[in-house]
Amino acid sequence: MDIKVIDAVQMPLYDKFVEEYGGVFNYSIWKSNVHKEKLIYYGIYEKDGQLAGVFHLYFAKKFGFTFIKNPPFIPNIGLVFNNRSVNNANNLSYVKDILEAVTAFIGTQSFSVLSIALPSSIVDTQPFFWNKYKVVPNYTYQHSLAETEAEIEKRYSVNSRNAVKKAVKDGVEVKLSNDYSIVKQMVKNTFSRREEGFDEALIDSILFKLATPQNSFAFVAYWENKPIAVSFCLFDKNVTYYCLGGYDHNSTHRGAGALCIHKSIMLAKEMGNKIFDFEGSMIPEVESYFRSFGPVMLPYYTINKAKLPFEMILKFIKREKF
Amino acid sequence: MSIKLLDTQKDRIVYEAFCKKQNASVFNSMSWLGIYGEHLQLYGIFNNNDELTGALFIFKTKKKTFTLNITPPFSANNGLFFENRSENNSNIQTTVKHVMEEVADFCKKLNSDLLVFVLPASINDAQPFIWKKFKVKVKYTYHVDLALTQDALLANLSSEKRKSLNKAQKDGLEIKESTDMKTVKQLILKTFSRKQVSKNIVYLDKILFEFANVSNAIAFVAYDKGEAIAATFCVYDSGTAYYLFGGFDSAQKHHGAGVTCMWNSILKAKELGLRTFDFEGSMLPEVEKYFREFGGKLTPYYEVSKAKFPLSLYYK
Repeated sequence: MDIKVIDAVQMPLYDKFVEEYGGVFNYSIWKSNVHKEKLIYYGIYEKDGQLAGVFHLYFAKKFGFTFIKNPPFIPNIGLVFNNRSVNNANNLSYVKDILEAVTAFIGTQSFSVLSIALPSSIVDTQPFFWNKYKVVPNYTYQHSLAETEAEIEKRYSVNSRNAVKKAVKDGVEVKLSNDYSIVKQMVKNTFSRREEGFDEALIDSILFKLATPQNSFAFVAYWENKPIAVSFCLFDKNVTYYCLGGYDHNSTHRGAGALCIHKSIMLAKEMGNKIFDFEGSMIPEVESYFRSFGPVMLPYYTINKAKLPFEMILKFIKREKF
Repeated sequence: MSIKLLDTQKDRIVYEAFCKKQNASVFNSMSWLGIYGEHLQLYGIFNNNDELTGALFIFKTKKKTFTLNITPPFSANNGLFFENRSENNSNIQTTVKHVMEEVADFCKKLNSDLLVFVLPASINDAQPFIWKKFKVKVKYTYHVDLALTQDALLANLSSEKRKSLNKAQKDGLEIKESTDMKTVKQLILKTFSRKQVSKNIVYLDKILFEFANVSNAIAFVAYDKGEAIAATFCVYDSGTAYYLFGGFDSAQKHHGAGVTCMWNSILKAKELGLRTFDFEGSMLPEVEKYFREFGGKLTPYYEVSKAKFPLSLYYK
């Protein structure tokens, strides 16, 4: 197998491939509208030159050092491939071959620190382990949308169910909104309250350049005619991803955020999606909030490696990863 | 919730009844745990009403001046299992989270120079350990689903494995189920590295000659012209057979001998009504490939560890 950068000429082939095998985070609009030249797409080619798979890497420079990581707001390296094997043993061997090729390719890249994630659909990280990468499980929560609405709701914790009910009872009104400036404002307030960095240019490019009604939706909760909470999701033909959420700290209603998420889950189901993905939950308070909606916990794997002396430093400050 | 040391004599009846109720694995059985003698520390997880709701075990040993709390040799994991009475999905996950938080706290308090705790593949929530700064490694095993028909199991094998089976048959190898653990041991020892032998021979003997019987172990031996040339040894419980050891005579190596022993072990496990055949770990590249070709499902499990300086430099 051979791995090569996908250039502008091959982009239509890439787009066609990800339309069939990939999802919203593979779409090339992430490169053209959001991450530009920092995001590089790669093709995995069979010996006969056929495109068998794709993935991407995001290169960031800081103080002259190169960091390879997941692109901001993209959960993983978008590795997807077409596995045509029918027999179980061959199927496993094909996955192993792809991952060995990706591992070998990443090994040829020049970086100071590498920290990337594989999609949750990829279980096999052995080629990375054998090549001295640190593999650490991370988690997301997913709802199967094959169940009825009532069954999905039954999975919620009592607190979440009551919060949703209370919001409805109190007259909190949740509306599907095209006005993503409300989303931006609410998310900005939430970020600044948590004293987290808010990259305005990045959020702008996602909300106003990347997001379209064909790949996103947002719910805004109003109370006493004022927007008090939002949820923003991206979707493809199979999965809806909860990407951003926020609420107004001054006029918060306990159930408004929960009601926005509830509506998002139900809309994803109505659209015919198979899965609602909460898109990562490694922060304890966020994890317990997502868990209260009763989804299934799903591991995905992060791959980490740092060159000396970064490794020594990271062993102290990011011990769980390095 | 609390975790307390169990007295293997006094608490035995309660513990065994609980294991039976929860269909605990063979590695949780008292007959298995008994092989480790005083190194074995069996702990109970108790709810707020002081009822036994779970268990785990640790192999405690000393090396030079270091205290090691690790997974017992040849045990698949540290036997963590617990009762989850919740029905609603959110509550089920919350119970798991609480137990795992409690176990992570408990592991921290053990004050080991090196702690290695392997979670069963059925437990995928290692988050509390990550949050408490343990190292969590992903490891793998292969599981064969025994609900499949024999034809489907055969179809899942790689063509190389099928060829090996055919070759063994064509060459007239005789594959017999065996209770002759001396022969099994001899073949295992021919495959074990010297280091492995010196480290684990005591427990190998205890497993083969004290633990194993027809109700908990399966062994197959391949004979070529009357001479034993390969063997497999598995232990099993009510749901799963675990492949523990295999061996072959490198002087009389036959391509299909080991493969046919393994294939017969899988079929025997199916015949016993078990649900899963577990290859019990496959992190060495050459072993992994050998197991992979049996067409099972690659199944991750987690190894949690924490080491104090200077062991932290060695245990990565």
